[in-house]
Amino acid sequence: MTGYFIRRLLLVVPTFIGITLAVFVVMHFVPGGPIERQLMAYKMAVATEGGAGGGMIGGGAELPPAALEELRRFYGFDKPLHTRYLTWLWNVVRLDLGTSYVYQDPVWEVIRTRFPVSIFLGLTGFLLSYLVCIPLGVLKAIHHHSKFDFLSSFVVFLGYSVPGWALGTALLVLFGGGSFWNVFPLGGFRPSNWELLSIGEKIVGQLHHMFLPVVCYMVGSFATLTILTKNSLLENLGQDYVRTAFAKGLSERRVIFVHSLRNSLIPLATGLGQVFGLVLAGSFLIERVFNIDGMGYLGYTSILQRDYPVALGILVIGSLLMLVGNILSDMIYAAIDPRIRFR
Amino acid sequence: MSSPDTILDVQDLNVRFPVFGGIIPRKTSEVHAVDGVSLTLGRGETIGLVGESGCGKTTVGRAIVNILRPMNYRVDVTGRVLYHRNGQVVDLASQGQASMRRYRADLQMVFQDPYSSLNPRMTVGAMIEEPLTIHTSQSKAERRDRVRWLLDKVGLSPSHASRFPHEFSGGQRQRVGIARALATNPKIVIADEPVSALDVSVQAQVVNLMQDIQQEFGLSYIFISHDLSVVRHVSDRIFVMYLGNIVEAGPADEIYRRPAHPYSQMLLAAVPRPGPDARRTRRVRLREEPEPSGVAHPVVDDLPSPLNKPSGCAFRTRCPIARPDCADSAPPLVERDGRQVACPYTT
Amino acid sequence: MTATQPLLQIRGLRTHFSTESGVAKAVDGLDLDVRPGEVLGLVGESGSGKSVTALSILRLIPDPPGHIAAGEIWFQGRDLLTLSWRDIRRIRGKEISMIFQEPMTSLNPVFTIGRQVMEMILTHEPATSRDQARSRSIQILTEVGIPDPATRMDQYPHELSGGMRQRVMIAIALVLNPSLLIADEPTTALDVTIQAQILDLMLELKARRAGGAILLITHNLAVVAETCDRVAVMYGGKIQEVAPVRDLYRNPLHPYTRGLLASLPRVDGERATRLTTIPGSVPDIHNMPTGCKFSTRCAERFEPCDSIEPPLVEVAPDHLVRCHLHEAPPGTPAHQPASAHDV
Repeated sequence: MTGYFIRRLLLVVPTFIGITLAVFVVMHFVPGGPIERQLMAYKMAVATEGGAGGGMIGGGAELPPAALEELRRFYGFDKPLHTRYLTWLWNVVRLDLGTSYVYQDPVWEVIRTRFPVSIFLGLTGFLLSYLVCIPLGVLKAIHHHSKFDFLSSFVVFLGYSVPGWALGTALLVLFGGGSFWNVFPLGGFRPSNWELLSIGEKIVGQLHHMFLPVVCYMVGSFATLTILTKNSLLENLGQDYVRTAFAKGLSERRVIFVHSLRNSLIPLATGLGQVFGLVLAGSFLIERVFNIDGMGYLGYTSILQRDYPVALGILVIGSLLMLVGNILSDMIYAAIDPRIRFR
Repeated sequence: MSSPDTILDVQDLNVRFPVFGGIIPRKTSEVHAVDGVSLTLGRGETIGLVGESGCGKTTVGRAIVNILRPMNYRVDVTGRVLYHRNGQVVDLASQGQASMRRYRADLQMVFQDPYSSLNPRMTVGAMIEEPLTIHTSQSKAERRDRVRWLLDKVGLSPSHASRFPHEFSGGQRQRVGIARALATNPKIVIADEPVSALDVSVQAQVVNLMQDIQQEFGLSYIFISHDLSVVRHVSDRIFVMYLGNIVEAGPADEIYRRPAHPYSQMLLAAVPRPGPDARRTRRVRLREEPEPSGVAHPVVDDLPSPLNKPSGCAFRTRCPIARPDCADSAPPLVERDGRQVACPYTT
Repeated sequence: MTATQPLLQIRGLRTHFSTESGVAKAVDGLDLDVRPGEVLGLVGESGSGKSVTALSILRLIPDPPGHIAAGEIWFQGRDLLTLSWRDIRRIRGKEISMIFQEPMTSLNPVFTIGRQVMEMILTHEPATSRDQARSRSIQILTEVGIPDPATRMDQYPHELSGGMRQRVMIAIALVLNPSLLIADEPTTALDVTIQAQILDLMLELKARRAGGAILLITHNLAVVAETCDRVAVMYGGKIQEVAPVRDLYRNPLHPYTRGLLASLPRVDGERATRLTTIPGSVPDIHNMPTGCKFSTRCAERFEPCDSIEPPLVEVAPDHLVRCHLHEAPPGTPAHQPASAHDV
């Protein structure tokens, strides 16, 4: 089995190259780019300056060819695509993700400043979903076809079908500001006077600000995990070994919580491998609604503004975490299910 | 070996399934599922293939109809499957999937599980009709007539054609499976555990049906089963298999009356017999058996894994008369008392 | 009638299942005695109700959809059907234990063999120390013929062959010396050589533990002939014939029993050219005949059979049959009043 995991780790390399190369090529061919953006900015500037005089907006203003050439060299576009990719890859190997075109800071710094938001959103969401969905799924399985089962299904599927940002807007109208109840702040990741607060106030302030965003971020994923838990447990309760356990004279509690639950959590536990991915968690729309400067927002704007180093940086970190997370998932799977042998 | 009456002559059939492993996947070992099996089937004859699960009997059946490669393209099949057809001899094992299609109509299979071998979303009529569409140039009306006629032949009503498999009982489903196999007028039917999933009272009906159809159409059967009493009832000759080898072959009555190979003996002795005095035999053994320590014999009850088959005679690990030299080389099948036995030491 | 007090007395048991097509009366008025120390075979085809009977004894019927609608099951002076769940749990495994058909799925795949054997001891005898439980487990595994039991204790079910797993099931069932072992098709999934070993083992262990009775549920009349003292033949949710094993095979009275025995192909004796068959198939459980359950397939049917269900009567010493062809000898007390014949 060790051989299997070594093989899987080795496979990360070609997969990673495949992913990044594909994105690199696509970026090369999509219209627009940092140079075009610079040109636009230049034209806008010229147009605004000359606006009072001629009103020829965006008309004849052209960058001198030498300056254009200078720009190309600055962004590295004077070299062919494969050279650029290899240079970029070599830099990545040396842990250098480049410098953001927009922020003019190292990409790593730009991404890193968003980690707290992501980890907060991701981790609370992750913990909450497991803490809520597993007990809820177990209850639903035990009381299969009961009123409680029906009502809770209704609620989780309602959450599943409402987009998080739409719910966010609704929640803000109801609980944020003052139209109805002024309970939560209108937005922001933290209280603005963060530096001045004591530890206790920081915790309260943080929770106060993040409550609504986390609810919106989570609401869609509750359904999947809850129903997965329920169905998995129901299926296991119908297995022969459960009948054996009852025939041995075990209590219902023991049969469900010791014998069946362990088996039914196997498919859920494999999701734990993706826990690393939490540092990149984010949702552009929810961050927009709540005015939070998080990873989703950064990713979105980096593409809009053709900030290639940032976009590729997020891709590098994200794909590596995902690939390693998948292997970790398989390891967890093999660890908790004695029947699994990877070869 | 083959006489004018031979329809199928299997020579030195070997089937190996590769096993992959290692950091860079490569073939690390193989399962030698069928190890040099030779057998003949006469026209209108029924041969029985018996043995415990994992002995390779099902693989032999699949290798004969050449469907192992479509199921697992890395399988390694060697040997010859000579099919005598209208005075010509064709080696089915050497046919590619395209040329094999010409012979598929002549060799049909009936499977064990009438629940899973029928497509749940197709009507029974459509399922029986399908091979006709593939293998014949009959018109739609002709095919419909043929389906009705086949349903009648297997004891179902023509009106059943529009029904789905779940509307039938287990016995009826196996009748449908037989009708489907008969649709193309086959010469050889390979029946893999055809009655094992059926209740006793229904099992007898299906066995009788298969025998009636054999009479009427002059079919040759290869009957694969672990149920020794059913095999005895239907078979003219028996091939006993153990871990990929045939250990004994001969007329059914002879082998059942006096099994020669120690494995055949063990297998037959294990079959429970219904009857008023069956209980006594075991009671006698029981009185002899208990040990003073109160501890039962630790029994090696496992078939060795086909992955590491014992050297020499594969049966030696469970054989009551095994000798040290049984590990040296696999004993060949030797003609004696009107049968073939792969054991030099049996009496 | 025998003088000995039965170990288990089932009277008028009705176990019904609510299904979409109506109420399925899987067991519908079953009377059966298990005597101390005997091996009683309960034979029937699929749908006869034999497995449901077994599960009903320990109240293991999944509810919903099933429920025990009526009846009494007397065991050690108590009606098992009126016991509290707490009390029935004390009986399960300790007084009456059970093994099932599928050794592949009847053990919990994620727990070691040792844990599953020890669980039986620790559940019913909580005062036992873990060391004691472990040594008793190794002892019983040795008794059921498992080589190297100390190693096997720490293995998982998938590491054992089917025959070995069934031995483990027997070890779990017998470790507390129950007075009744219910074996539901214990050898059906096993190869014939393994089947013989398991049956031998069950009889051998029973012989060593004086007083224990076995209720062997099977469809295989040959297995019954070799292992049982008495046989009960079930059809349509009712007992059709009960007799000592020799009487039943020498002088079967019910047309169904005779049909079953005649339809068996044989490995010894003369080969029949053609098997005798019972025409038709088991009637739909939702549409059982009103009279004799076998009347739809019976060659010897006559006028009362379709409308009046015959009673189970003792027609010879210890030989009971439910058939209009056979009446109780005059003067003997009938098992039930034979008044049905007068109609």
